Amino acid sequence: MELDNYLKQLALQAKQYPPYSDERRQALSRLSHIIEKLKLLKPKKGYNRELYEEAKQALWLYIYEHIEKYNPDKGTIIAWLSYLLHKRYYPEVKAIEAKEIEIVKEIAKWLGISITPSHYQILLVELKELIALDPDGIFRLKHVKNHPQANFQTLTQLYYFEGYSWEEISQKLGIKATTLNSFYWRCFQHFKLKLQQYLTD
Amino acid sequence: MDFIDLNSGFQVFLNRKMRERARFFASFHTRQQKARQVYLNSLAICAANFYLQCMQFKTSWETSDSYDVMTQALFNVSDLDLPGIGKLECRPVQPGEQNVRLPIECEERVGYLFIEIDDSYQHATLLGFVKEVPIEVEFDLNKLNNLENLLLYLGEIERKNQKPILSERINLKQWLENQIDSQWLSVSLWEEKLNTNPELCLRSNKLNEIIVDTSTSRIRRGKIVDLGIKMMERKLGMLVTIEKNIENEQEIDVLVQIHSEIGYFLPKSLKLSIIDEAEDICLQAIARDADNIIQRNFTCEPGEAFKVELAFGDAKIAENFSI
Repeated sequence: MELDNYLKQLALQAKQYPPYSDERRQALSRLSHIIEKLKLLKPKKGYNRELYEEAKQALWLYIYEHIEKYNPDKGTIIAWLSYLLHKRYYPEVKAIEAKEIEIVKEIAKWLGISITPSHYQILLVELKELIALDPDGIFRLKHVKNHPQANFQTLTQLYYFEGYSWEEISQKLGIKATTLNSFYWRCFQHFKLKLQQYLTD
Repeated sequence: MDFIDLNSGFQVFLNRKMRERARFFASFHTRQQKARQVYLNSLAICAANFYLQCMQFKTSWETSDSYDVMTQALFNVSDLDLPGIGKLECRPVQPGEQNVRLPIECEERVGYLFIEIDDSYQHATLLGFVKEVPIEVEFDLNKLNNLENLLLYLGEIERKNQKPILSERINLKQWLENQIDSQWLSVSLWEEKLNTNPELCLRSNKLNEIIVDTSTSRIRRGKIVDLGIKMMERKLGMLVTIEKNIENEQEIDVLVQIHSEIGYFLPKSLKLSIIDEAEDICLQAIARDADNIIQRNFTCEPGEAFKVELAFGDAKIAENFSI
């Protein structure tokens, strides 16, 4: 097929040039432009639309960086992209969503906020932004004694948002996991009222 | 062979995270008109951010004017900071809008990208860009350049602003006095580090032929240079040989060589440049097909300094020397 051939050429062109080069960017931009415009990737039955679009975005971010991995002998570029999308990215995005809901439920429970499923995502984004922005500069100042890097802001991001375990964080920061854990939950109690205020405003 | 019109915009799905982030920023502003402006600006930035990240440009919303709630309140800003390039204005437009008028606060951006946000806030379409835009007067959106031109334009600025990584200046006089920094290895050690494939080393005598050293007044040191990901993990070795000039003892003869790992050729078009203090390129050598060494030699006077630069595509490294 003429279209398949053209897409293959674009992928090969992108492969041939180093990252950050004009030629690579141009070929990849054209490739995704055509695939998206002609809707050459399709969702499967029962897919959640939001999650499907997110999975596709994750796929594109991956492809641009790893176009080298495309092997034209194994099939068309569309076949490769479809495989990655359905076998890897959609399930991955779905799993992340499930985990995020768990986190939100847990935090909402801690804070005593009642929440409906349609608000999970909203609360999660609000929390992430709130912790990152730290509008009153209080989260980053509350830290384990003599370890300014082990502060409430960083710990929340590592533990909740990036999914590290206390053991992993312990190794990363060189502080005992039990110390981190008990410090963190004391902090959480300390900020409970403040967090409730921020989030219900 | 065009299957679609490349001048047509590129559509980005505004996912939940993007919409929530925009809503979050908007929530700081009580005036409805301002909140809506911040909401649309934020969505436009999210869409541009995704596209540019895909295209492997570094983006940093956190350092943009538009990320600051106070600045949002006072000005109509919608910029996205691209480190090493500049701030790109990401302007939202409504479906069907033909003319736009930009406020004074978005003067002096590196470029202006226009993004159509549909009425349901589900999709953003990157329409095109211009390098400069007349401020506070009507501007016709039909005059936009397509996105491929944006990539080329930003790429050009990125390369222009890319500074070679400077290393500390190495004093070659000290080499003659045998005071040599430990990162500059003896030839045998350097050779060992460069060639990790011992089987190939045994078979090839080429490297040994080049670096067999009979003279004692000659000093020869090497280091492994890393040009980053673009070299596909292949190693390069830099070898610097210095010797007092036979006719004038004050002057020093310098030979700079770039060797490939045994069993590999140097990447084609790898460029070795010798650059003087005025930043002028004095000498250059470029690897052709199947080269495994490129080199240049020259003579230096006391007090002189020079830079050895190695470049492949956009990747560059430099070593600074003085006599």
